[in-house]
Amino acid sequence: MALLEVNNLVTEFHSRAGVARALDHVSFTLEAGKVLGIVGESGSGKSVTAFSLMNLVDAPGRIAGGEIRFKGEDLQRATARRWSKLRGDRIAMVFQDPMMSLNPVMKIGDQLRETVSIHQRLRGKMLDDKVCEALRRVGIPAPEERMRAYPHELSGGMRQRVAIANAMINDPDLIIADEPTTALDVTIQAQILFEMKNLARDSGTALIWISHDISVVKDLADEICVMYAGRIIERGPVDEIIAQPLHPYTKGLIDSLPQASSRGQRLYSIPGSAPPLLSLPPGCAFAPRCSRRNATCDTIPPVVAVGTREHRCFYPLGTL
Amino acid sequence: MSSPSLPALASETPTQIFLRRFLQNRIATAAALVLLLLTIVALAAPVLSPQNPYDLARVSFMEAEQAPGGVSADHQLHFWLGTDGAGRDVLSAIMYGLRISLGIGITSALTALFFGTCVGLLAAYLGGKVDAVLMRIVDVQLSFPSVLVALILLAALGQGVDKTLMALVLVQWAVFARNVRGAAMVERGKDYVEAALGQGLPAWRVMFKHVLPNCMAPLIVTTTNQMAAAITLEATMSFLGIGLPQTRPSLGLLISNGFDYMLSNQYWISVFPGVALVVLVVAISLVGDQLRVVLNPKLDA
Repeated sequence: MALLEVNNLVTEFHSRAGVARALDHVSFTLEAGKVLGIVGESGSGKSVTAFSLMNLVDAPGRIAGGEIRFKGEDLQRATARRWSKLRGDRIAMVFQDPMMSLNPVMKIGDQLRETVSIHQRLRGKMLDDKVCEALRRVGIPAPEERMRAYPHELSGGMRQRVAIANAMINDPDLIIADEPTTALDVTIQAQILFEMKNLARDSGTALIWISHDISVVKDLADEICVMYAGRIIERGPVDEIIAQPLHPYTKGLIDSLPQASSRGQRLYSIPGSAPPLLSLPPGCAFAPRCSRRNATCDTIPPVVAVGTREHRCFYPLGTL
Repeated sequence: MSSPSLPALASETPTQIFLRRFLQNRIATAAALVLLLLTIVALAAPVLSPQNPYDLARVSFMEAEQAPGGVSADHQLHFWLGTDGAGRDVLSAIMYGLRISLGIGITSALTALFFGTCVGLLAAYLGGKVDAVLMRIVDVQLSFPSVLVALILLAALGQGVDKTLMALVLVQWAVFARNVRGAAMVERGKDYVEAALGQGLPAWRVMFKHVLPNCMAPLIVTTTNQMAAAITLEATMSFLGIGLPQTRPSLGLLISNGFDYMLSNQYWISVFPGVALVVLVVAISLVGDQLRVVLNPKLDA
């Protein structure tokens, strides 16, 4: 049984201007201990996926349909109490901006202690040791001292490590990381990426890594989902997708990465921009920007499975 | 993953930073000292005051309406601020009055703070219809002049310390509710709230343990200003004769008691309690203003 199964998940945001479908029948599975990358540009539904999985979608948004099964349990039926038990203990999340995701008026030691003590009966010295160990594990020097610091006394990289320690402290089965390295500079980004990968591997934690940067995900993930306008347009093992993308959008993303061999050439970019969710084209959302489009593309392409891969395109690459 | 040399953590604690900033303003520092002094006087009134003005055995009609600087019949007591119509030492009466005025101001502001905070947090957390209904109630409450509300309430309920407190809380909770709700709405949108929920904390705990402490700065300022307002309003009610009973004379009641003597040039019975009231309220307001400056997060950078 897969650790996480998401079937036809739909999340909508209601406003006076209409209903924006931020997630449109999103489906994927994740095995225990594996890393799933979710890639897409801003507004494609990556973060909404993360928040939907945590049941943290705020009004005016709501999960309008579909199924989330975590270790076989239907999470749509979970009560608030059940969610409180799951969150932070079995499923944890790391947020994008470490400047914002820690409580500014609480010492970091207290924040970590709270995460532990809400889920386990652990007090005093044992609790402090666990917190210290968690901080040490993510590479924070002198954790005993750092526990007494407020978030503003730490650098961005350190804060993100604290947030990661906070997510990992109860050894969850799944960590959802919503662009956790985007707000950090490149050297720290590489370090955190590397450490996170090792930590997840060592503890057997499954990871959903959300990023707008396919190059970040490709070294980390076992499998990736490419999202566009709320739909997963391509999904499969990371090596195969990078080597041979099927969807024109995925190819566009890969082609727009700078490469050593393309030195001196103009970097590729996908023409046009992502459509607003309130006025999507009738068929394939990528069609207006696609060079392979055809009259057929005015209807929504179905999910086509090819071996271990899936895509949503009438004219995938490699065909005519 | 190595452990390089650590940059020293900030050497100043938040309390030290707060004190340093607060003390930068001399007027506010003076006001804080005055307030401290008045609080000590109020707390220690039974020890400090020359006379217990409510001990009938100690008060004599023979010494009534003495001008400031007068001496008692047995030459034991100097009436530095004179005596009132019943022969009570005005200075002692002011000390006891301070006790009551300050006590009522602090109690009512803190009680209103408690109820207002609960309502404000609830509105901010639940949002939608609950928020709309609660905030319209607040709007209605605040659209009535506070003196009018307190007057109607006290006229209906009658006099008494408890009733005056109730009237003051009823007038003030709405101010706190609106303030807390505003501050909490801003905090609610921040990532750390989602992060706290994502750790598995129940919503009520996130609101009280994470959101509320982040709303403290505006709350402290509001509480201080509301204390000053409560003291003024109580004085008004007592002056009008519907607040505290004669047995618990606050500053307002002292002013009112001496009012009849004003025309016969016995100014001291009313004026000195009045001065005490003004000094008290102005000191609290000045401290409140400086708190507003010091606790403003925009000055942090």
